Amino acid sequence: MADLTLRQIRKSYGSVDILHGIDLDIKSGEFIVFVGPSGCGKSTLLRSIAGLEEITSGDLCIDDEVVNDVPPSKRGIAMVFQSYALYPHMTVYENMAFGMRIAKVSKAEIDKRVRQAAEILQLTKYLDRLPKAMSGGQRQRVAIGRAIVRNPKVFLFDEPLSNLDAALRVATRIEIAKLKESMPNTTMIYVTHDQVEAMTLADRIVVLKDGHIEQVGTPMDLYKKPGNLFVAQFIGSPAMNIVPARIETAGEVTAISHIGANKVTVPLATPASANGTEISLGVRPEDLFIAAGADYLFEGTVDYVEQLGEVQLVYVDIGQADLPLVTKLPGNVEVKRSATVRLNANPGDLHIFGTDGCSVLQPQSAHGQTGPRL
Amino acid sequence: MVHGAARPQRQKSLRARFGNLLSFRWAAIALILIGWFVYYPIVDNFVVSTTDQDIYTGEVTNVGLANYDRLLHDPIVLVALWNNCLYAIISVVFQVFGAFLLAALIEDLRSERWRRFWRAVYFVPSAISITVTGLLFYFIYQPQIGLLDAALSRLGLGQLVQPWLGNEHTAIYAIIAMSQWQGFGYSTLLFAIAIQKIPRDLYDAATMDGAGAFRRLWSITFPLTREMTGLMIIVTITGAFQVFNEVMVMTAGGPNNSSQVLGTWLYQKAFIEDNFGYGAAIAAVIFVLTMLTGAAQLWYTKRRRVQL
Repeated sequence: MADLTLRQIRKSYGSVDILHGIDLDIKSGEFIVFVGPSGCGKSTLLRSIAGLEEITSGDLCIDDEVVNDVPPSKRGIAMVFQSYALYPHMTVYENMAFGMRIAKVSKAEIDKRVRQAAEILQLTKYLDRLPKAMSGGQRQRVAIGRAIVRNPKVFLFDEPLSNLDAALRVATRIEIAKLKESMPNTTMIYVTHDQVEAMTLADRIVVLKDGHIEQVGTPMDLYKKPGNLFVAQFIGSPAMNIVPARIETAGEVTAISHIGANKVTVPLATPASANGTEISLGVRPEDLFIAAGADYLFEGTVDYVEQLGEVQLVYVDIGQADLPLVTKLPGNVEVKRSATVRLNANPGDLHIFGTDGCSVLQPQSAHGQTGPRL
Repeated sequence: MVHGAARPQRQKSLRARFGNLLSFRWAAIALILIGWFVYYPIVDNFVVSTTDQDIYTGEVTNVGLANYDRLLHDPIVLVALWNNCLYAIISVVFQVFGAFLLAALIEDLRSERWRRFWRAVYFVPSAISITVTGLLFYFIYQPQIGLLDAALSRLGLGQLVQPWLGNEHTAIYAIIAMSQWQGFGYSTLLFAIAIQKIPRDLYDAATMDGAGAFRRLWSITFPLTREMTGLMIIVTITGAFQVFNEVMVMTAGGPNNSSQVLGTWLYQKAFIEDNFGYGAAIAAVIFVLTMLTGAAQLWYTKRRRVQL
């Protein structure tokens, strides 16, 4: 069991700043996922927590003890690497036992722990094999086993599924979820750029961009109430549609208009000063549907249709030069290319972002500022 | 119908054979060249080693294994063989294990700039021809004008000053030392390349497992560069048995044959004393020794190969 506290963690390589003051509290037993685009600093943050990277400034605390200068092996942390990082010249047994041998654990104890972990991960019959004689999924299980035998307080996973094929990825993801269930008191931090992994595994997701935390929240929080344009477009696939718009009438409810479409009223209170403000209107593809009557939000021509069986992605040209509107419709709805369609969405499913990119539907943003901010 | 069906099959077979012949023709050119310039001289050397040849009259007498019998009773051959062994042992210690340690130290440096700098510093001597290096060290070892003795005197170690190449007890060591200076950087560079091939994640995993610098070196770097170590041992030992240039330039085997190696003794016998048969017998011994060493090491390395 371990609480983790990150206070103003900064990491620089020479003059290049990678992490810009990360503040984060992780509760004992939580499954936290760091997610973000390539180069956002998520792996660097994970390696800093592991102790493989020296932090430039700030405090990293495990159970209220500052561990900035504590060696990685003494932090009570185990890490599973993207490449598995199994020692190729050692058998599965030796790989799992290596750390304990260094720690001078008794042979009987080593044997007990290795066999226990092998049993959990169904690796018992492979203990004498070299990693090269195993599949990618089995190797990843060995890497997890190597972490388990150390009885860590905190588990770190650095994109552990990215070297696996699609089917194995799903299977191993489920195994990791079950592993977490079987170790409820162990804190787990998981880095990925795959939002499906993030959404399915996390208790809370930390979205990172350019070395900053953009938003922290439960998967559904991030999906339903993205704090800013970046999170809105990063979480969800296909990404949220963003359309430039303007507040026509501010008040208890807000009337919004956008180019080439009807005025829409959303259940959001805005100050009178917001009248005429330029905003971005966001709507998820899965929240759009074909309008039944004269009441619609967008009108346009079907540019392209991707039929995926159960659903179809319909790209609708609504007169915006740079983007077609993406709609996720049931696969059995007939939509023809070049046809004119009218799309609607429930007002509650609309997201409004101010000129600074922050959501006005979000009472408290990730940066600690309160909305609405227009 | 039957004939009609058989025909295309036969044509296909002929075409396949013709294709094979064509590819063999391309390989044949290389095979003939290698055969003529590499394998034929090896076989011919064994034939010559069973003869006694007079270079002036061209007379060739078959003497059977007499040259090999003579070789077994030649005291200088024993000195030369010992010197070659000494050369091999010292070179393996310095140019294999020493170079491995140095490469590991250099590759452990955090700054890429410093890593490049040190690789270059150690590699520079290897870029100089061994003959030029031999001449350079010939002057360094000179008792009157040499840098080494001058430096020893300055450092208050005057009692060590001596004619390094003129002393029977130090000549071979002086040559071997020069050779280490020359070859050390090249081996270091090769080890550095082998170490760079080891994924960094393995070191990170070992660090997480609690391995310190020495444990990482012993448990990760050393086993994962085993293939390169094996190769370097072969190259170093075979090189030690083929050594010639530096000895010839610095001492020509002297003083009093104390620094003779098989290569210089072969030269002495075959080209100075015109005894080709005996020289060929020495060459045959060098060939067998180097081939056996290489074969043994290759077998060992293949058995312990680690796939990264």
